[in-house]
Amino acid sequence: MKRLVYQYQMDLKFSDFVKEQQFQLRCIPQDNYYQKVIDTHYYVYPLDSINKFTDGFGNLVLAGNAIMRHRDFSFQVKGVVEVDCSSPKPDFCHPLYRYETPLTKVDSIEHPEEIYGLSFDEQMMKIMQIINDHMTYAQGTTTIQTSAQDALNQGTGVCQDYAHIMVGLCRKLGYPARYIAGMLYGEGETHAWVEVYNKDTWYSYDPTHNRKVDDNYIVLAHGRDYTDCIIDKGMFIGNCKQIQTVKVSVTEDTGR
Amino acid sequence: MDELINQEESINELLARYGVKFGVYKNNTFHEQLFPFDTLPRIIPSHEFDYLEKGLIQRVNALNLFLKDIYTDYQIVKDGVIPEDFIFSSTGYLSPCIGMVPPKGIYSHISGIDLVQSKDGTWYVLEDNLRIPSGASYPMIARDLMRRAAPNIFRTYNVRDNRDYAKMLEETMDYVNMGGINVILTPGRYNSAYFEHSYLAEKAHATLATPQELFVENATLFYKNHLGYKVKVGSLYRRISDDYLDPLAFKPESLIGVPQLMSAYREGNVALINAPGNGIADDKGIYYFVPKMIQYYLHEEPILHNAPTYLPFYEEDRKYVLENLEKLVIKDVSEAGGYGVVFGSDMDEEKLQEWRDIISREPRRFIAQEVIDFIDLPIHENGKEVYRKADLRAFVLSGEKTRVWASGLTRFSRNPDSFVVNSSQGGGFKDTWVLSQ
Repeated sequence: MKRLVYQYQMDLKFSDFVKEQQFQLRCIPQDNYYQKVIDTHYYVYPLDSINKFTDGFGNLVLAGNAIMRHRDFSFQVKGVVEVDCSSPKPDFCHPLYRYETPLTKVDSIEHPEEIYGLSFDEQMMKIMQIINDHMTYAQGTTTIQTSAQDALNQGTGVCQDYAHIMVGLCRKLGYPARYIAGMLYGEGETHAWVEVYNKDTWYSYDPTHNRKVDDNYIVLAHGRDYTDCIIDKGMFIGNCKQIQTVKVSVTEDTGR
Repeated sequence: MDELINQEESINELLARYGVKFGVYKNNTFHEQLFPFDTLPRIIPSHEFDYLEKGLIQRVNALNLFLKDIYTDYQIVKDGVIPEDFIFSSTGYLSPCIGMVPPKGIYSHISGIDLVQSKDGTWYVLEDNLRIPSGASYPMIARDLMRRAAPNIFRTYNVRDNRDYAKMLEETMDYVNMGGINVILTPGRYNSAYFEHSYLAEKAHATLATPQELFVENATLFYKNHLGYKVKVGSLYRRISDDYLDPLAFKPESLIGVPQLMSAYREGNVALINAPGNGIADDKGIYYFVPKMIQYYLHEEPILHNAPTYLPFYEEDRKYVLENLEKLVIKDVSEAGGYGVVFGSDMDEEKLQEWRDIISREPRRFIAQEVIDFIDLPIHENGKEVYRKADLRAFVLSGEKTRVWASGLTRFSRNPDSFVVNSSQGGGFKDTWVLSQ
């Protein structure tokens, strides 16, 4: 068990004034079968109205708007979460996680016979190994619209692509699987990994790092693929460029 | 009846003047077409309508229970009545609606059930329309004009009064209203049913609004009136399809939606008529299962018949379809409005083989039905009486109770060889008289 302190900061700079900005943020951790939220604070600026609602997958969403003219927009979420992966608890799985989406569609694995005889956990490790044998981590080679199959074909991608491929392969094998957007211990950007459902329990794997998920991960949102878990979704009126910077930091709470 | 036939020209002129038109997009340009009205009414005897009414109420009640079930516990899937695949791999199943029960548990407030009567007198349901079934305004205004043209005839023939549709609509909107005004949302005047949106708003005492006049603040939907005051909306009869309803929940490129509308809806602050996500229940593949739903949810035998339907998804059905393709009609489950419908009888051997291959390759994509030889109705055309295929769209409203409007939209095909009666394919319409005795 670990007590993690996190901070998520997003700054948006527009090259000209915009107005009537609408946003939906999926960046507030919630209690689940292995994380417990101790403390949460959030701050959005500028802001005219805000409310919380739960989406169809059970993610907590902050929905709001900034109507007046503005050139900067930012939000910050920080808090404390207790994570304990040691004994996964049974949980519910929606049948939707069995079906492929355009982003998670993959053709097949080269040597499926190598996989069938293995235990569930060995199968997952094998799938991650196969993905890592095929893929080289490289930023800027894929976009948010790149499908699992396209990423596999070109052999490069980022955590989002690794997660899509693994979700797709697991569904092909008959395991319900979902995409996870969240934060990882350290400093940098957000991260993506997967949860796979077996015998009433979700198990977490991080294909990008080719390992099982441990107590260093904080879940923000889950869904069928990236599009269900967009951390910051928005729209505004204005014709200009925007520069987005995201800063994530997760450290261990060493007591106070 | 001559009294009516003689009015044909003047009534069609009046309909044109009132703007009773529908628009079609063809080759990317917008055309407005008149919806030709034939003054000879379709007449439904009283006892026959009573039978239809019972069957329609039963069917719509079961469909509403089905929608509630599959967006919450999907017990009907767990119990193996409908294969999981048919629900969860369908594009009609919308994830933003999962776990959300709308006000009063009603999903389909306005259902348009398309029926045909075969030559032996049996009625068959051809299609359920639970998203945004349109067309009620056409018989409303046509009856109004006919009443003015020949007031006596409606007494002589004991025709049931159908002037209550707007009142039924208003009561339905009031019943699910979550506090605030009733609004009809139209995408604007370049929409195929703009006439209907404005007509229904006026008659049902609702405010007609375009997307620019609505906004969401703190998960509450507001209407901004012409003075700039904001008024809370409690019930929204939206005539915009799910895909375009809220750019933050569905298609992000939608310019005709209301951003954050789904968050207001999920928080229970506004009723949406009809509920988003209903497309899963009027999917042509799900149609096959409606009689099973009636048995499952209501423990009753279905009163109305489905047209004999085969699902190539099931091996036994697939075999039958491949062997009997030349006498069947094939429908693509994802298409609407009379598109994606092909008749085996129109195909030569090469074409039949082509379709057998397509069906074998993608069995889930199609349904096959026996062609029902449905009745021809007399149509007045260039001074002569001719016979054309016709169907009936019955309107079923679900509020405090489920009620059937004692009227409907009778559409006929103007092409003597066609079974397709959709208005977007050039058909006309008739008044529908339900007799009171």
